[in-house]
Amino acid sequence: MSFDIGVVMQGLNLVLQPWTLVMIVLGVLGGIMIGVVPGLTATMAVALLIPFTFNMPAEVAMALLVVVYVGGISGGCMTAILIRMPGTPASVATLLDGFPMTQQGKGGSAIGNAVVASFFGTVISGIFLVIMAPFLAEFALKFFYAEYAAVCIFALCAVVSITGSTLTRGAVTALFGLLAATFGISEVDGLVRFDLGTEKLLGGFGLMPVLIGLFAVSQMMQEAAKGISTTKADISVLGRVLPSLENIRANIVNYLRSGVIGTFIGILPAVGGAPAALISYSQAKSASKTPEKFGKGIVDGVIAAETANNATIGGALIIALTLGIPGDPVTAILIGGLMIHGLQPGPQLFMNNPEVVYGIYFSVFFGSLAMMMIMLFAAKPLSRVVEVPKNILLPLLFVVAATGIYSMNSRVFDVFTMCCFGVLGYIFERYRYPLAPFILGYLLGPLVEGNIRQLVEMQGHAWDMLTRPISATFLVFAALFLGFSIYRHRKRDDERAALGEGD
Amino acid sequence: MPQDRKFGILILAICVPLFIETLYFPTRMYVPLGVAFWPRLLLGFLAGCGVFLVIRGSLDAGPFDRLNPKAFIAVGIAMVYVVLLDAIGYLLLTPVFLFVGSCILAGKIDRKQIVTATIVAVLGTGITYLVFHDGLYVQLPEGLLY
Repeated sequence: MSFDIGVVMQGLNLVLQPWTLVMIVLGVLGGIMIGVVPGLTATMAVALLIPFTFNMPAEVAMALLVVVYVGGISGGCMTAILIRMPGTPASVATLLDGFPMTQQGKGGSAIGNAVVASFFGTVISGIFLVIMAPFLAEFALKFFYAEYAAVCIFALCAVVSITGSTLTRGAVTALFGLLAATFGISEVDGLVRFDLGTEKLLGGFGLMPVLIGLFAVSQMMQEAAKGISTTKADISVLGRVLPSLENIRANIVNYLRSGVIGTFIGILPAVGGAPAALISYSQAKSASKTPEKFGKGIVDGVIAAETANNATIGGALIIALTLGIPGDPVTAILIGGLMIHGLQPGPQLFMNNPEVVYGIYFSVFFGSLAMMMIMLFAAKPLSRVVEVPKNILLPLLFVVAATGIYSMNSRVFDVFTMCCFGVLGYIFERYRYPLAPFILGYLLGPLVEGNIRQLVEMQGHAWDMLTRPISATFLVFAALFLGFSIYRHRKRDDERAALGEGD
Repeated sequence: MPQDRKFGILILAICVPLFIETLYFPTRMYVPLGVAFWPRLLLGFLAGCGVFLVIRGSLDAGPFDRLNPKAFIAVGIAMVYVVLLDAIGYLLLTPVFLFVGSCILAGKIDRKQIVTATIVAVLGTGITYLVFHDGLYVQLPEGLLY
């Protein structure tokens, strides 16, 4: 797959057509507006738009679908930061520091940094997409059952080690998340588990009800418990939205590290933006000189999460375009969009229609630029949401969240599930049990189980996880993370005990 | 009793019935790791954590935030709304929920509060209905209006 400048210019020319640019702007705007609403995902936005693209040229259609994807992923950060409600699963890590920043009156800064981080994440992964697509696809081909299971175990151990005040609390919530993912029909063999006698649980709990419940409904409960007054929330000054160049320069390492993490995670099928954001967040925390500030409103956490979750876009497109394997549900729909227009993803696409491929690349870049301009422009008007009195806002938000969740499957049961997980999240947080490991466990549980079981079914044992170099490396890193965390907590406890004795 | 020990007992109370449930999972022949393998492994680890919490008692110093009954009352009202949604319908029940929820959360009720709550209830329902039902073609529960 050679690099032909003539084809590159042809792809650029396709995207720079006035009609395509209009579609890019409208597509990004639409994606952002969908991404902002909890329960409405980027997947839904892209799926709804496919029929509208039937009569469009292939390059315009794909440009539109790709930028809706970009807008949808980015839009989720707005409500995650302002009202602790992730608009999309990919923005779940953003709220860990984004919402505390809003509470400190720095919501504008959080949004501005999140938007710029989204732009950088998309651009970084776009650069990887353009240059490294063939090489990265070859590396991912080496991932088999052992490697997938090992990388998921590594991700879980990393997040458990970093979040929460103790390792045990993180492990407990991670295990609960893994366990919650086992409810319903098993993905491996289609057998039913833990249906509790009701057919409503055959599909499990659902990702969005769990997410919205754990983070948004639990937060609503906390706000309601505080005692609501009719006076407006004290967020009179959001502060500066646009990050300064100095701020951007100071976080270059964070952008680059998170962008690389997100791109590589995005390559792995079915892992997606949420785990990438959480892993990047935990990496930023461990690399930080002030890790104790994470979770309390530090912009580095927002930057790490948003850069990584947007970087998965390019990563997912790498494997989708080069091999035809969807990196996440949205790229599965994008592949469908390509096929509707008579284009087969894979090496043939690069050989026969390279201008379409480069058109998609440039759509990603222009889409991220449009996303940044739109979100920075709309940040302050949108931030007014938090000035609405909380006794008005909370029931409204619940209705919007409930309607969004209901819209997924037209089931009241999903909304009820959301409320139940809200109660669970509230209890966890009051007892200082972190929620991030729960979500990661819920997302990665099926992957770990599926890959281990398929490995054992094929080989008769799971020793490959220790003997294959890539999986062994990830497991060693996982053990190192856990060991370092135990050491760190023991050291902290010894220091506290020594201070106590000294008194 | 320390909070973490209470949590440990709760974890064990959850693990035991779920483990018993795994004994009734369907099975397939000639499968090395059946459908119960993974849940049992997780329940084993979770029970281990539960035992650790019971023995250890408290993981770190410092008081815990208490569970506030107001939080459960708020979510209870929301759950009543959810349970009645299918029977009564979105257009009829949502404005009632918004109005009641807003007034209860406000604490004190005066004329201005009632007027604001009414306007928000009607507008909020109307806008969300238009966006989801007419814009996104989502069939919302019709309930008594059907």
